[in-house]
Amino acid sequence: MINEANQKLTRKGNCMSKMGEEEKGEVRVSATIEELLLGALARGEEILKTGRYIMTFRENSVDQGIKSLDAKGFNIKDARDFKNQAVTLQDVGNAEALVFPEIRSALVSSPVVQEFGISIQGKMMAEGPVEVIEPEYFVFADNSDYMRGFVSAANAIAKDLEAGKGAIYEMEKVDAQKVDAQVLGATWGLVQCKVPQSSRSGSGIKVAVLDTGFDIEHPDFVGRSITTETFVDQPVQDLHGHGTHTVGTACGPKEPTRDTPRYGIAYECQIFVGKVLDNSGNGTTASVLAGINWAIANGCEVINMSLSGQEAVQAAYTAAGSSALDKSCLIIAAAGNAGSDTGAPANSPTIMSVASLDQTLTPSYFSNCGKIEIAAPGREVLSSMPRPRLNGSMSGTSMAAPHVSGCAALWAQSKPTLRGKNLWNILKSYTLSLTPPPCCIGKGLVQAPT
Amino acid sequence: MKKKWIVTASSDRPIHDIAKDLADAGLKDIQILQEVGIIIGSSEDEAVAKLRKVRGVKDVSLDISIDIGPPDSRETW
Repeated sequence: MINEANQKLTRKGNCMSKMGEEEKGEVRVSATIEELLLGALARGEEILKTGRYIMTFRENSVDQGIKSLDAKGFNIKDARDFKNQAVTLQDVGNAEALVFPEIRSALVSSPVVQEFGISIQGKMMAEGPVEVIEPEYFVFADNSDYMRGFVSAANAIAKDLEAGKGAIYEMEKVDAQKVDAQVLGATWGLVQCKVPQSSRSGSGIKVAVLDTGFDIEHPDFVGRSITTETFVDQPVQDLHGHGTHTVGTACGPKEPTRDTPRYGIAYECQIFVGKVLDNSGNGTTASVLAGINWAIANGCEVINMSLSGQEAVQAAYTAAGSSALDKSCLIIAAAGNAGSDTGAPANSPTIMSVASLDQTLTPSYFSNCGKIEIAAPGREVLSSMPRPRLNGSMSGTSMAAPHVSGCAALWAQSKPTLRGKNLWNILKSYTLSLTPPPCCIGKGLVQAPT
Repeated sequence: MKKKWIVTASSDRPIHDIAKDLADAGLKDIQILQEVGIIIGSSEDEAVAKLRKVRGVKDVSLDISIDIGPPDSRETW
């Protein structure tokens, strides 16, 4: 991997002029996608950012915004300059800003942003024509395959460097940087839920995962706050794998320890592991309720339950869900994998039910439907596994639920009033709408806060 | 045959009072889950009717098994 050599890629030969710009840190508005990707790789920072920015103008302020840019001496192109406003980026030449008047925004390079003298955190500007400036991100048609392709390309480049075949690449030594996770990106599920670009970490939020326990010594969780309790006649140590996997998705690290993409969402949350299922993956209502009770007593804001039984609504689960909401706690449960009606506890009106989506963002064949609040990635989800495996992929509504739980922790961190029913409502408000009906996917795909 | 029961308690009455009455009605090995308003215990099948009559009891259901559901267990590397 590139990280092993601690080397930075730069381009030479007939790309000299572009290299100069890259060295200055400027990414041209007219850069090709390939140039953007290679540039992002060379910078070794968050691989999902292109290095350009999107400037959004306030309503009715596009012309004023253009005047501001012009006044500061920037070279501006406007989509209206092109026939039918069909812009080809390669045709914008040396433009430093490309304005899209129909959507009151502009694609700009970093010097423009620096000139405006504002930090690029996506914060709203107090006054003036510019409402907000946000980084531009790569998007991929099919996240898992494209990212794998990109990772292969990155690996191929690294291999060429090691073999001394760097005909078009020259190495410069840089200070040791941890570029592993950034180069490898994140799992398809995290990308679709907009997790990598979220500014939130789940810090200050307690997330309980009621499952088969957890591998407490897993290297990706060193230094994390982990509280454990068992409600079955076995120690908390997860000998099944399911619990370690769901904890990983909801609470896993921002930078896993090996050549693994980021697979976890609330990487700074406090983890509460309640073993309510034994090492064969079995439990009963009683053990689950005891786990819920414990989590609420410990002040958890989010409870993840990737477990279900194909039965009608259970009064006890409904009561537990109601008590939880009253006590600033949101219970999120997997809808179940029988390809039938939503199972219990997810079918309780006071518990949030999660359906599973494939990488194509269509409902997974096994996902239960009917009473569904929201949907999340549940197919071929990479996450943590007990030692010595350390990582593995699993499929199921069990994998979808912790995506929602992790995102819930990020939302809860963003505002102290987002608890219980308020947290439920915000998760449903900010979904990505999809075509399948609500009985299959609820309000849509869960999204992390910015 | 002795079975495990999940009793959903109403919030109208202190849960410990309900638990005491349930004990008098034949519920054994009582576990009170205060935060969620649930009482767990075991008794013979025949005693359930008496348990349901206790003031403050909203529901009495059998403890049933729950699992991680198929086809979750398919793992790929």
